[in-house]
Amino acid sequence: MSEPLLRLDKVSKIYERGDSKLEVLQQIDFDVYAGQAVCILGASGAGKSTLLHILGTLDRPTEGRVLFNGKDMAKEPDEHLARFRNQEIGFVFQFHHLLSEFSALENVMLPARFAGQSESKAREHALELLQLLGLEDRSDHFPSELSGGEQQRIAVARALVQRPKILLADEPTGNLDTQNSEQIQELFFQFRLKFGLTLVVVTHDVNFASRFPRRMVLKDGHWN
Amino acid sequence: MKSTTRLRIWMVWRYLREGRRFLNPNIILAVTGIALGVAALMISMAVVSGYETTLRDTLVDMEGHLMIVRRGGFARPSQERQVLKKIKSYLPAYKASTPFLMVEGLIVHNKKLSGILLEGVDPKTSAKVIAIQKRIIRGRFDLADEQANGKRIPAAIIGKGIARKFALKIGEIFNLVVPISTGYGTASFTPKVQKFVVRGVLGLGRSDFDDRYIVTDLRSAQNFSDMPGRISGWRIRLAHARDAIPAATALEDQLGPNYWVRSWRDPNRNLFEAVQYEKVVIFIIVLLMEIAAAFNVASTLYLTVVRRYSQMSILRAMGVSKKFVRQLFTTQGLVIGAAGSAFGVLLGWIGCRIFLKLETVYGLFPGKVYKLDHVVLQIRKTDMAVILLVTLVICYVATLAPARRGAKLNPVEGLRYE
Repeated sequence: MSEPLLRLDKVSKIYERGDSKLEVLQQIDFDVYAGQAVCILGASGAGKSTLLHILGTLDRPTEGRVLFNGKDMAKEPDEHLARFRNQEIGFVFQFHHLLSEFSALENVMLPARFAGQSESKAREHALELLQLLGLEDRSDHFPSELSGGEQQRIAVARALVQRPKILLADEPTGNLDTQNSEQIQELFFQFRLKFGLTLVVVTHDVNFASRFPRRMVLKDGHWN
Repeated sequence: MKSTTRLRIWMVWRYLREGRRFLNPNIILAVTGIALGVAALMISMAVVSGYETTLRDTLVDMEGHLMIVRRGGFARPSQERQVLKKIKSYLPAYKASTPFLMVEGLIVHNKKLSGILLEGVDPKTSAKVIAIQKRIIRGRFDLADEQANGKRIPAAIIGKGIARKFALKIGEIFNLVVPISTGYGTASFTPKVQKFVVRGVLGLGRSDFDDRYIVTDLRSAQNFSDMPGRISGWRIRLAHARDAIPAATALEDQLGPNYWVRSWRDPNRNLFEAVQYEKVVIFIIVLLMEIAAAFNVASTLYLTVVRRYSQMSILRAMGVSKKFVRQLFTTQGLVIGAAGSAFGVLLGWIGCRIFLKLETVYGLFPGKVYKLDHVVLQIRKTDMAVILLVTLVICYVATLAPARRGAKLNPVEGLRYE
């Protein structure tokens, strides 16, 4: 097999408060190959979100390496990591985290605008995705004017507008009813095929987890 | 404009509007605070600068830029031509000159009398040096003698204070008395009386001048004071009023001890210096008000940082750098500062109009105290530039701490909870 797209090499994350230490991740090794769909399961507090944040370079490990195509991202300066996240990674969270002051279309456009794309180009890309999601008629609506399912679908579109290699999702269906949850699950796998995405999803949803060919369980900071 | 700057301004505009609202109330308060500070600075600077300019214009209109007087007696213009030639060669900013004769005397009319200064001016050359014409509020600048019953009566333009005190109207005749020296010693004076006809009334804007000043033709003043062909000295016009201050010192050195040179600023040097100090003090005091308003900007931005904790985190997740987040806050502060400045300028302009109205109706300026009975407000470009620059700098500084805090937020913390 070729080199993994993402690799965690003996990653530990320790939070220190005064004299007490909390070791959230302990010497974790994890390989994700391009195009793979991986689901991470585990009880609350097992370190799933921390692992996802480290994979997405939002957080730095206390020890170990985070390799993307063989390059150790843990050593990169903040500015490089910001560009890396913008170009290579899409995030979807349990809460949609849409910016309330911007319309649905503008929310989707933002990552492209941050990458320096012209407004017209970013608009074109964002509209394309909204059409795929069947939300083009909601493009001028503000987040407060959308339903929970629509908000989360807009968040998915925003995560994908830059055509990232990896989509990291932290409980993306955790806040949705069954119908909307299934819609989102469907979208993930549709887009995985359409864009050749690598998926790493943290979830408690057993149904959702069952759709993944590879499932990993995290317990007390290490793989079970 | 760089695309990131445009993007930042667009985002800030959306934040300020909070989506579809017109403007968020916190921002309105912050902008209002800055606007009030700018308006207060603008009005106070306009009053002080206007006072300075009005005072200068009054002096320059009456006395020209420089006054050169021969010490120890009155001069003959024919003898002074060489001196005038010298003056022209020493002063590169020289534009024009006019002779004058100043005589002290008394006005006697309707059983009242008062001390006056009678200035004889040359109607042919005076207009290029002094601007008495534009200070005439009634009548006209015409110093030709009037014929009455076969007698020639010299014309005079009197200060409005004299006109008021003696109830003199255009065309009315009054008497002036001057002491004529008949020898040496204090008792050797005889009074000489001459009738003058009022041709115009001067409003110089200074009560001490308006109450004492009478202008007549140079020849009439010479004949009346028994000094035919004599003058007190010359009034000089230069390219700019500011040239007069260094020119006066330089020229006095060049002309030697026989001549006394005075610039328009000299008789009121202390007053002008006091005005300059006052201007700085007022600027600092009013600026404190603006600094207080800037705290409002800072607190608004701190509030924004707290409210947008998760937003900043998601922006970071989308690939926004710390620098961009920092700039987002500083731009927000600067936009508040710029909007506050724009509204402040408008408020200041309205305030100035109100001040002028109140000044006209209620006479805000006690002339006896401030030497001027009114002030023309002056909004100087340099004052405005300083006010706006200082405002923006204050707003920028006010944003630094919240901006740094916003940029330092740990994105993971903001994403953990909604």
